[in-house]
Amino acid sequence: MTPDKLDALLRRARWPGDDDASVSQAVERILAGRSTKSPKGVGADRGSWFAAVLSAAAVAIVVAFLAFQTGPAPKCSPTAEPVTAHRHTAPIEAPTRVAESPTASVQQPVDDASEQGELVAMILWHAANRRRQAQTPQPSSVQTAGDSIRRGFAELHRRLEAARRTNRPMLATLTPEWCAEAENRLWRLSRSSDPDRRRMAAWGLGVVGTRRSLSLLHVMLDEPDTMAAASWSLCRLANAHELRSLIQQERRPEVRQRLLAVLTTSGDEQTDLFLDFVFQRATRREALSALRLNRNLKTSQLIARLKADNWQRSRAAALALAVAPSKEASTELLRALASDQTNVHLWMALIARPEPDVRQAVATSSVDAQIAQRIRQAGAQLQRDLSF
Amino acid sequence: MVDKPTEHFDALVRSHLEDAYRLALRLCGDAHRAEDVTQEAFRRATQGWRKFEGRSEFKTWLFRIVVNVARSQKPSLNASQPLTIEPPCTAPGPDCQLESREFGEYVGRLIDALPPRQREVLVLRLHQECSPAEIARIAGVSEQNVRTNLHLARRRLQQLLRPFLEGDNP
Repeated sequence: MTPDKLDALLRRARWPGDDDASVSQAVERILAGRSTKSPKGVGADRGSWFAAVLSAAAVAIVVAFLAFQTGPAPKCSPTAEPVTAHRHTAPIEAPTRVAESPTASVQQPVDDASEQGELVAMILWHAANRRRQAQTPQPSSVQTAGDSIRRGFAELHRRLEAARRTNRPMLATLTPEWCAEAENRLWRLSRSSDPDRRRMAAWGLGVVGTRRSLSLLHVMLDEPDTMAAASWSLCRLANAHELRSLIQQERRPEVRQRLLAVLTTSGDEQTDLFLDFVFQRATRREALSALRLNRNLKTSQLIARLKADNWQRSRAAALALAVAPSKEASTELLRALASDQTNVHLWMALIARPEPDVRQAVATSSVDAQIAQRIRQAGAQLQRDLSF
Repeated sequence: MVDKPTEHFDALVRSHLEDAYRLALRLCGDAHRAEDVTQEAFRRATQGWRKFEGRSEFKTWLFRIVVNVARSQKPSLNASQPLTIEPPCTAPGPDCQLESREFGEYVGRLIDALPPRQREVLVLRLHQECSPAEIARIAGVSEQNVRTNLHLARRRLQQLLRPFLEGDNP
């Protein structure tokens, strides 16, 4: 045994994502500043970054000026203590409000659930393909394929982080026949004694499952290990009416919050349902708190609701955008502001945003007397709506 | 302070960013965290470019930033490392190529499981082809410390990879 031989073995080490194509893509993303962190690219971008840093003092002055103009800062923290008097005045249809903050430590962000669900489907697809390839008389091939499939499941958690971005387009290759087969397989997997496998089953059902899996997902909602995955899948499979009943009848705050959080990642119907919960004062705090669980909130649907004819939904969308922990929301709001400065609900969302560029935009616009009046009106409204 | 042209910095970054990302990937063991680490290192390099005096090579300086950022980043809470690392199946079969790739991933996981300092030194030596003196500058330790950590890392991995070293390669 020589050191050279050991070094040769060690040089063969590979990490998920270190192939040339993935590395090039990652480097391009970094250069384009499209990664999860915020720094900008080289050259001109760096200049603007320095400019932003240097203007921090100016921004502080603008914030102070704005606070003076709009009165006391609106209470926009979704974790504020609730006023218990509202509990007894809640409408019958409304779900009970939470009395304390959610236990977010045991929960995963919603966007992770989405990607993990798709990845589970992907791994099943691979497993099925390899099983099909192994349906030959040679026992060694079957054995090898079986080992690979087992290893595939055992290593799922390690691969999730590495493979979820690159493999998603392969979902387009799934056929209805394969989905039906996969759904049966996931039902069997849901009875496993291993919580990781049960969780995988719950995620997978959200991608390949049908309405016949709803009852199974209801059961999985009761189990802490599968609660997050089951709630994500339920929102994909159940309709808005069923989801409303489910949330209203649910007694556990953490499950209600999880269900509310995933509503904003689904279709229009689910987004409207979420905004209904935001609009009702009795459930507002809980619904707004749920936004914290959604790390990559899809803000485009909420922005679209700001212009809705239904003023209740428009105002609810403004409240959601005001407290959403998403920088993307600020960017979208500024874009919307460029085309329409008359929408009070848009101002409601904007004046509560903490980002310096938004603060600066609001301060610049408030030079106009009419807009300043609108901002004051929006601030007062926001303060009323967020005082729980 | 010397006024340095930004084009020079841009060209240097572009030529070394891929290596920096690969280093981050090997130190973190996770593509997403590696991207974040490289991005942050890129930002710090942008900030510190004017203070860079050229006493070491640009690559060494950039790698040092990457190593420092990777050290400061805590492991993701979602990343659940397996308690035991199972060796891959080495039986010959139709999945030979896949097995070979899985063996590479297995070795990668063994390196991930090393103590941080040993991992840094080993990755810089074997995968980034740095000399002990360069590693010492990058990791901010003495050359003797580099040699010791390299020896410890090799010894540990030698024990774990003994079946593959004694028999045929997978």
